[in-house]
Amino acid sequence: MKRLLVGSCVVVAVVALVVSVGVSQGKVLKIGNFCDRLGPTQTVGVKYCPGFHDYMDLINSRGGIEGYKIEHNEVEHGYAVPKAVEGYNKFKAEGYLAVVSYGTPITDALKTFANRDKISLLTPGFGISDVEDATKFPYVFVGVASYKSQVAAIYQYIKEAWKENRAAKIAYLFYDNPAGRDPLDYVRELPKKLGNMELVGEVACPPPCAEASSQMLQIQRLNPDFVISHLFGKGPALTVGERAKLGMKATMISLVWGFSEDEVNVNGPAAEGYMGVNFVVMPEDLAKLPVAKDIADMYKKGGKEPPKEMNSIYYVRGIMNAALFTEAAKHAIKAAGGSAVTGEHFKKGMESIKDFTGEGTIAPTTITATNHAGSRKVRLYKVQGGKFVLVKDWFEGPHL
Amino acid sequence: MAVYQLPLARFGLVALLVVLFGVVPLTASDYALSILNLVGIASIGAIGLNLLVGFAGQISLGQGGFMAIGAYTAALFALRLEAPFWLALPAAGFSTAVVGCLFGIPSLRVKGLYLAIATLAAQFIIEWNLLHSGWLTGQGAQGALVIEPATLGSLVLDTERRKYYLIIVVALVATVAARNLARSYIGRAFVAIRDQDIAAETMGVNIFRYKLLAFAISSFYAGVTGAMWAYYTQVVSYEHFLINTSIDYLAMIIIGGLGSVPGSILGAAFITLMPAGIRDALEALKRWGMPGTLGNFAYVREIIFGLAIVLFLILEPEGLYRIWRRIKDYFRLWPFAY
Repeated sequence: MKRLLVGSCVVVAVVALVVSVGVSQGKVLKIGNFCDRLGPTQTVGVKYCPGFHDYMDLINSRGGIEGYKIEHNEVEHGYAVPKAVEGYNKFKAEGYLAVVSYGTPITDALKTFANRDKISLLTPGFGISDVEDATKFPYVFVGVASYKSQVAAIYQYIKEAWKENRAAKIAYLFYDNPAGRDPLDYVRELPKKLGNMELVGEVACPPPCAEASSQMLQIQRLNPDFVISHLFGKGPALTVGERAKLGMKATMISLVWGFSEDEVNVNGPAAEGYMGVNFVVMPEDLAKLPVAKDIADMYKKGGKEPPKEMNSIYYVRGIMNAALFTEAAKHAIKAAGGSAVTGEHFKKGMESIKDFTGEGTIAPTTITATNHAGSRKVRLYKVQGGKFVLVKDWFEGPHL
Repeated sequence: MAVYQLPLARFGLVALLVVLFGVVPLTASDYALSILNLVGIASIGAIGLNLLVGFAGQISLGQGGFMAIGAYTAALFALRLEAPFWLALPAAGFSTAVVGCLFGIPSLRVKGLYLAIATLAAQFIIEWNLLHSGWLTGQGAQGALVIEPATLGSLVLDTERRKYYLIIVVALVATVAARNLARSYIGRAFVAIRDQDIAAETMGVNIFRYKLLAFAISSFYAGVTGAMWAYYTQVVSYEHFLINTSIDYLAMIIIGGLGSVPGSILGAAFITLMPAGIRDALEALKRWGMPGTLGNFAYVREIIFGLAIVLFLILEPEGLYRIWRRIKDYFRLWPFAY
């Protein structure tokens, strides 16, 4: 038995060595993806990451980009920072030009490395405000509406929807970690700027927010007209259920990580009236887009059924990441002008993205050398009859 | 040098130093160096935790929190006082030692599982305070800080290779200090307390003093680890030091060997390398035609990793260090195994 143990360790080591001798053929661009399939956010990861890979496969099956094939791999980090750092270094060693980050602590750990190594890091919806400063982090891109932009859009909607004479009372319910606290300045200051609304309370749900009834009772006592909810994991589904149980009158509007099919599936009819913003279209809209049909056709050609993950909002987000990177790759290849595409070219490619809609999945997005934040626009949806109904098409809120 | 009494051991030590400072940095790739850096940083923390858990027998689930204190101290020294890293590093160690002593006080009254819960509280208290002390951590609501890389004179330690030298030096100092400590009066007092605290007290060991000292020294190591992590990533966020960090470090010392300094290093290497090794092996098998998707590989990796840990614990409860000793003994007696 002990020999077996030692033997298997040796085998693992040898195979690992063999792997590190990579073989490259043809013109290839390498774009990586981080994923959490086993950690605390695995319910998101298992739907989010296939979207990325399917879209990259689709691009390759269409013949690649300007003669280049996309080589795409994934590092599963289980939301653990040391594993992510190791995986990032693996990507770097294998010559990856761009990587999609996953998770706020992981993005935080990788942002200085990305600058040093000239690897473009895409961090859509992970709430690290300081990376939006393109002068400080020239290789980090947000691309879509940040938490602050989402909060601004929600306030904008409230201002338009509120018709009564008194000020609208608003409560902010948030996950008590850096991601949840990220938009706090917008939450506090925007009501004063917009007028006719006031923030009546900030209610924190400490991680992992697996129990939220006391928070919901606290909100009930505040008696707000609107609740802006910014939770992760099981929190959103729990609060949606509690809200129905308490018979809360307030309209609950969620940021992007709390508004998915999960909240509807878990709560059924209790989710009616739940609202949320998102920077991608909902899966029902995706199904109507040509890109969804193309992916389904690609699967059918391989003799397989289209993946069931396609019914998830997170799958659309995976497509969005891949689409932004393939668009950047197109510009990067042009910028390289026949020579080998480098990290600098890829950065230029990212900064050349103009009015790009990701095959209909995102708002027209422009990224420039000075603006890495991309689009601030979101769509607002409402749960009606167990479905997501569009309330307000692409719009954005005011700046602070 | 008194730690190594045999000529062969001394020769081995010199050979090891030559490899670490000469051969490795010249030949290893950036990726290999980055892995060694991660192992090096983890080793410091694992040695520190082993001094507390393996030698003194006081369990701690607060390792992550203590590392966070070290990381923030180093970052604040660097940002607010513009202190060089050689000043920030010991400062991180000492400040964490103070905090560690504070949370070590319950160890005088409670033992075993109860102490585990008390130190778990330390973890959460530290996390909460770092998140909510904007006046201390600054930079808005997030409490994350960005620092410049460590510098030595005009040399900026920003590449993996340069960081490697820094980390390996600190890790070596930490190892030698711990090995010396283990054979000193203090180390023996720790072991006496671990084995039977009442007997230790009757023999004149001041339990109060040595339990607190164990927490102080262990926390000092944890603080240095946190500071090294801060200088390695150049980013400090308490989210890098959550409860799973504490559990990872406990796993390192249990797999490596409780009560053994080299075992701590082996354990740190195991926890850092094994998941990556299995992942790369699976990817190679896929390239050679093994069916499966990226998603399934993640599960297989975790299953193999878990299985490896369970097998180690069943077959070699004394950890990797015991296996290493057995290999050494085999060659010491070679070719006659009796």
